[in-house]
Amino acid sequence: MSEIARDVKTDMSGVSEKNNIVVKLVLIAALMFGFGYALVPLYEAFCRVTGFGGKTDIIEEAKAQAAVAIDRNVEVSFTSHTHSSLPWDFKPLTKLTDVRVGEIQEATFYVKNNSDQTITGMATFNVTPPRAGFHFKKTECFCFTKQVMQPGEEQEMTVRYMLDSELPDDVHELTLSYTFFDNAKHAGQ
Amino acid sequence: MSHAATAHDHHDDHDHPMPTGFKRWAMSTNHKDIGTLYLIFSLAMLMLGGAFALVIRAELFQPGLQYIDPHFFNQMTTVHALVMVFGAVMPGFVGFANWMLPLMVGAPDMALPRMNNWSFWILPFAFSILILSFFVPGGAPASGWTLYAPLTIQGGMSVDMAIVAIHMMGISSIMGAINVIVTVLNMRAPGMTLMKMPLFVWTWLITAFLLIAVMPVFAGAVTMLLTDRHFGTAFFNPAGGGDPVLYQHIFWFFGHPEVYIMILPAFGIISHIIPTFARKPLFGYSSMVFATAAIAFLSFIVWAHHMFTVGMPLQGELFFMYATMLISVPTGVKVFNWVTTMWRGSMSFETPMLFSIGVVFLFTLGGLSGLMLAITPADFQYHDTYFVVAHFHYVLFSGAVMAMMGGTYYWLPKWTGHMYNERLGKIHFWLTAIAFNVTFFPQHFLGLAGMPRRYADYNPIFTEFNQWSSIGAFCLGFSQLLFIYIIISTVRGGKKATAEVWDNPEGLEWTVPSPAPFHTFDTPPTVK
Repeated sequence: MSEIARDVKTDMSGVSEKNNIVVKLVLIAALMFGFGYALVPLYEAFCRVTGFGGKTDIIEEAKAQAAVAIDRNVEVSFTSHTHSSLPWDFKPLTKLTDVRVGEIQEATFYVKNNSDQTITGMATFNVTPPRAGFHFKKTECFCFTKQVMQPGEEQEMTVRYMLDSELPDDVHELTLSYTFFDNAKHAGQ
Repeated sequence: MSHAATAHDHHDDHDHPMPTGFKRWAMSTNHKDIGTLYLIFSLAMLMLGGAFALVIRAELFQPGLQYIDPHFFNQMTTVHALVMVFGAVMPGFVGFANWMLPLMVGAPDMALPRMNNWSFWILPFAFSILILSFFVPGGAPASGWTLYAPLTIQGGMSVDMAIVAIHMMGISSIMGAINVIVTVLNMRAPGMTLMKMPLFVWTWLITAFLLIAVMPVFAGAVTMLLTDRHFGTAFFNPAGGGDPVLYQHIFWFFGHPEVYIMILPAFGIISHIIPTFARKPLFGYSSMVFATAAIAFLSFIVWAHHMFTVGMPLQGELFFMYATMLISVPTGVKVFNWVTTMWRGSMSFETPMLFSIGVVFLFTLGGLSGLMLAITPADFQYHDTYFVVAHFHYVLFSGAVMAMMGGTYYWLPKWTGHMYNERLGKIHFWLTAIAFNVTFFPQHFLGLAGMPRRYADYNPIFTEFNQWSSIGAFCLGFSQLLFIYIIISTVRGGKKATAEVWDNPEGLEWTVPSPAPFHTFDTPPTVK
């Protein structure tokens, strides 16, 4: 008796129940598609907070001035690259520095546009080892903005930075690497 | 299972005649016909992907470049993997699901038959697009199946074709997954509670949820790739401030659950076969269900073990190492349950059982090399070597594919109404198992010795193991012609199969006649 009653009930509600589940499942699929995109800002926030991926930090000039230098030295070296489609020379003039933690330092780079066209470039950067990136603080950098170079123009570009005192104890040397890209060909920032 | 199925050979209550030819297959909404289409498609893709693999192995028979140039070699490894993963293994399991789920839960058909038709017929078009990419300038994608950015940002037109093909495959599998979930949740026979469902139904239900959760994420990743390539976005393009490592995170967030999508239904299949031929009920049914769910959950938090070498913080590496090792606990539960099911059983060794025992043994071996790869410091050495290649072929071929072969022998009499040739089946098993090990076991040594994957050439010191591997691969490939012969001859004729086929097997599918009639369970059976 009860079984027959249940059968009838299933028959009547079966269709709408089925549609309900389908709608929910399609919704889950759509949400997960969005989740893939949500991973982009999440990952960026994660990198900013943890310094993962060799992202560096920015510090105001006044704060950097106020920082107290401590008796600890770290070797900082610089490397530079240009994207294969960018006809620029780009090399570090400061190759290797012994940096006191907490002290403001400057490093300069030589840039030359070898082409006969005005090109806007944009530099990206990262720090190795990545866990040191967060403690590499810049007050000023040519990588903060786009750089316009006239045909044949030469320039020296500067980055002003300091290492904060919370730099992990086992980091004795670190490398800052820059890559210049053609901003017109690789827009997006 | 009180009364036998109300299967009927005549179709009085269906006033339409049985459609034939094009109409029957192209417009089919019958779960059995669509299941057959899926299985044939999967077998065809297995042969195609296998042919690509043989090109790879022919080139690697000797060091130096013999037959093909390195760029084409990379196209071969890439398309081999895409075809095998998305063309052979995934549609193969969907074929089993289509055929068996309604029979196992006592339903007349899948819940959404029209969508079922669509989700199959998308596939031939998707793979045509992928294969056509061989003929565009620059050839097929050559980036590896993972399609890592920024290499794929630079690739030619074929990358776009692969992206479109992947979107279509994704839509197909999401529709297939929705169909499975609705069928399992809504159309079970009265009395079949969730914890009475056969294990193949359980593993497929969980697989379907995995599919719905991660296929869209992959679709998102390749869409970002597409817009990076053509519409000036910079998700992964470092020039615009994007991050290539981000692609790897998103890809493997999909990719790791994906590997369980390819193995959980295999676990389901052998959980049916082993009890039948051990003549004992499955040991630890509920622990099997919970272990499957646990594996599915863990699959979401281990993805970064595929990318230990990208320069993660130590804490991250430790987390992903421990989480990965944790997976061996529920997997171990399953392996012990299968072994305990066999323990003191009245075992007999028909072909399906041989394949299942092969799966238990060889999959466990693949799991062991997986544990080695999970050890972060060791992984730095093994990463992107042939050790990884050996590992995933042990879990994917001798796990997923051999389970499907076992499942084919197990249910083929139900599908066709004929018994297959047992002697040939056993020969096929031994050829496959031996050739498989000759192919892939030496690759462990190659990897440990440092031979990197995805190169057309290698250091001459690796020659001998590579030659073993190539000889094994050709034997393995051509042994499958025997598989095709056995299937075709069983479809055409052979000893009539009884409804039960085997010695007192468990499950509703054995209560309908063999071959299973076009319409089954029009009146649902009652499960006690």
